[in-house]
Amino acid sequence: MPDNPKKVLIVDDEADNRHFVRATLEDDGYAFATAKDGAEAVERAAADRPDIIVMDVQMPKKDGFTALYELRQHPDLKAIPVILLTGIGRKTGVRFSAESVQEYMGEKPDAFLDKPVDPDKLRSTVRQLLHARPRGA
Amino acid sequence: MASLTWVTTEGKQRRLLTGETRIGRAPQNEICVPDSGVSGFHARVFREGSAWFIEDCGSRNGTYVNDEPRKRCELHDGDVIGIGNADFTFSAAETSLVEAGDASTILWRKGAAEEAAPAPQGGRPVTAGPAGLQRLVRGDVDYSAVGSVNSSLFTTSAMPKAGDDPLHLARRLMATYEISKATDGTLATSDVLDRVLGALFEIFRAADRAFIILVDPQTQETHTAAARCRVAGRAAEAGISRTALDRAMRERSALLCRDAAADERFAASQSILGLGIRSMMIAPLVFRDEVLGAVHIDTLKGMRSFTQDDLELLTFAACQVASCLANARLHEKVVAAERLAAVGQTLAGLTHCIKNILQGIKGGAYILEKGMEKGDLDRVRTGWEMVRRNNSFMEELVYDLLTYSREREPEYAPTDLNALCAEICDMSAGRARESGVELTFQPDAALGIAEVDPRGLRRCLLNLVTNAVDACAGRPGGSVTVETKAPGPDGMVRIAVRDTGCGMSSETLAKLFTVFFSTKGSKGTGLGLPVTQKIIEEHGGRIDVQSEVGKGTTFTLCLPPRRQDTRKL
Repeated sequence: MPDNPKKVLIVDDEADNRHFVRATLEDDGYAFATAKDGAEAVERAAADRPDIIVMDVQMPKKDGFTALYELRQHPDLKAIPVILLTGIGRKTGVRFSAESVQEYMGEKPDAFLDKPVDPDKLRSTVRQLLHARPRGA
Repeated sequence: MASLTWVTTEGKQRRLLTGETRIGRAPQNEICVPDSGVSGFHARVFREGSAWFIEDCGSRNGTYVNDEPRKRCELHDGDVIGIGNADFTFSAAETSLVEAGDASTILWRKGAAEEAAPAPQGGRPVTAGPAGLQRLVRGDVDYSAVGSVNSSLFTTSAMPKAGDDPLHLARRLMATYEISKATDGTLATSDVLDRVLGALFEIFRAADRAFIILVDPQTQETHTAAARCRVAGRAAEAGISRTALDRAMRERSALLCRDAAADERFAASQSILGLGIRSMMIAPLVFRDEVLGAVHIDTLKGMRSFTQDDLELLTFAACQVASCLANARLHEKVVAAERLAAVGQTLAGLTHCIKNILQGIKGGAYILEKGMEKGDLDRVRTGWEMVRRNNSFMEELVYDLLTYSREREPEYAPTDLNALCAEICDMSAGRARESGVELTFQPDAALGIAEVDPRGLRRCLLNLVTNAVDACAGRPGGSVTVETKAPGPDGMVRIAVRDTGCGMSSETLAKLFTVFFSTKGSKGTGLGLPVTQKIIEEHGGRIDVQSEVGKGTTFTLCLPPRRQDTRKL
C-alpha cells in the first residue's frame, strides 16, 4: 500500500454491498472507511475527509440523495467526489441519472452507477474521478 | 269489485267488471278499442265462481297477459293485458272510487285532447271513443324531431310546466325514478347499460326490444353495447335501422317512427319494415356536445306503436343516461390510471428487490473469482457466502410474492408452537448477536399443540423477529423477547414479539402493511409484513401492533386454536 493512500468512504446499509465495493477497489491500494447510512456518511466524511465517496441511495435514516445534498452544502466537504449506486426509484419507478438527481435534489453526483454494478466500471470511475481536477477548479 | 284500468290520450280510465266484458274494435263491445291492430271481437273477460278469466276470441294479433300470449287464463291482481296497442291492468281489489251512476267507466282526467275534441255531454264518461284513441293509433308516419337534445328539451317539452298534464308529469317522474334507480350505486359502464335497458322496459311497457349503441371514443365507430328483448331470443331476429340511427346521432335529434309499414323516408335505404320493426324511437345520448351513442327501442309484435309523449320521455331518459355514462367513463379512466400507477409501483418495488439481490450475487461471484485467481481461500469463502445468502434472499422473495399474490388455503398440521418459536429464536440468534441485541424466548408451558400452517407461521415469526432485531441494531441494551401465551377467555393463542428498538411513528404505522413499503433501505423488500398479515388472516387470526417512538414495538399474533373448517359439505 502506498505511504499516503487515497481514502475511499463506502456507504451502504447492506454489508454484502460494502464488502463488494471494498473487494473491487482494494487491489488499487486505497484505504477504506465505511458507513451504514446517509447520516453516518456525513459524520464520517467530516471526520475522515475521504478522497472519494461511493454511496448507495436506498438507505434507512437518511438516503444517498439527502446525504449528497448535505455534503455539497458543507464548505469543507463539497469538493469530495461522490459516486451514487442504485437501481431505480422504489416509489416512482424512475430510472435516475446524474442529471435527474441534480434536477431532483439540486445537486449532481460525479457519477451514477446502476445496480448490479460492474466491478470494472466502478474501478475505472473511481480512478478517473481521483485523478480529475477538483470540481470548480 | 274487480276492474280494468287503461290509459289513453284522454287519461287513465277504469271499468268496473260486473259480468262478462268484451273488448274489441266493434262498437258492440263493452270496451271499444278503435285500433286497427285490434280485432272486431278481440277478447272477453268473465267470471267463474270467484275467479276472473280472460279468453282470446280468435283475434288476429293475439291477447297478451304480462307480455305472454294467452288463449285463456285466470287473471290475478296487477296482471297487464295487452290488446293491440292498449294495456289493461286488472285489479281484483275493491275500489274506493265513487262509481258514476250506471256508467261503469270513469274518466279520471280531462286532458288536452278533450279540449280539442268536444267534451262528452251530460257527464257521460268517455269510453275508448274515437276522438282520443283515434288520434293515438291512427297509424300514420310521424317523424317527430325533438329539437336539440341536450338543452332545449329541458327548457321546453321535457321539463314540467304550468298546465302540464298530471299524467305525463307522473310518467316523467316515474322515468326519472327508474333511470335514477338503474344508475344509482354503479359506475361500471356495462352495469349501467344493462340496468338502463331494464328501466326502459319498465318505462315503455309496449317496447319489445331496447338497444344502447355507443360510439367508440378512439375510432368513432358505433357498436351495440347492450341489447335486451322482452321475449328471449328475439333480439337477434331483427337488426336495427342503421340509417335512422345515423340520422338521430348526426342531427342530435330524437326520432319517432309510429308505423314502419307506412315509412317512406327510410324506404330508399335499409327497410325498417324488412327488419321486422313495427314502431321505433331513437334518442341520441349527448353529453356536453359529445354524442356518446344512442338509445333505440322498438316494437315487433302486434300493432303497438309509440307516441310523441313516449318520444319525449325517451329523450328525457336519454339525457340522464348520457350524463351517467359520461360519469362511468370518467370513473373508468381514473381506475385505469390508478391500476397503471399500482402496477408501476409494484414493478418499481420488485425491480429494486431483484437488483439488490443481483448485486449481492454478482458481487459475491466477483469476490469468489478474485479469491480463486489469487488462491485466497478466505476470499473464496466470503464470495461464496454472499452468493449463497443472496440466493436464499431470492427464494424468500419468490415465496413472499407467491404467498401474497394468490388465494391459498393454509396447509394445516398439528404444530407445537413453543417448539416452532424456539426454532425461530435459534435461527435468529446469530443475527441478533452480530447486531448486539439480546434475544430471549419466554414460552408458556400451558400452550399445547395447535393446528396451524407451520411453514407459513415460520415465515411470519422469522419476519417479525428479523424486524425486531433490525429495529434494535445499534441501540445500547437492545433486546427482543418472543413470548407465547395459551388461549385466553377469547380462545386465541397469542405469540408476541417485543423489542426495545427505535419504535415507529404514526406515519410509518399507517403504512405498515403496505406492499413494498420499507424503512430498511436495501435490506427491506417491503413484502415481509404484508405477507405476515395475509398468512395470519388466512388462519382466521389477526395482528395487534403497539409501538412508541424511541421505546420499542410489540407485534402480537392472535390465532384461533382450531381452524374454522370452511370446506363445503
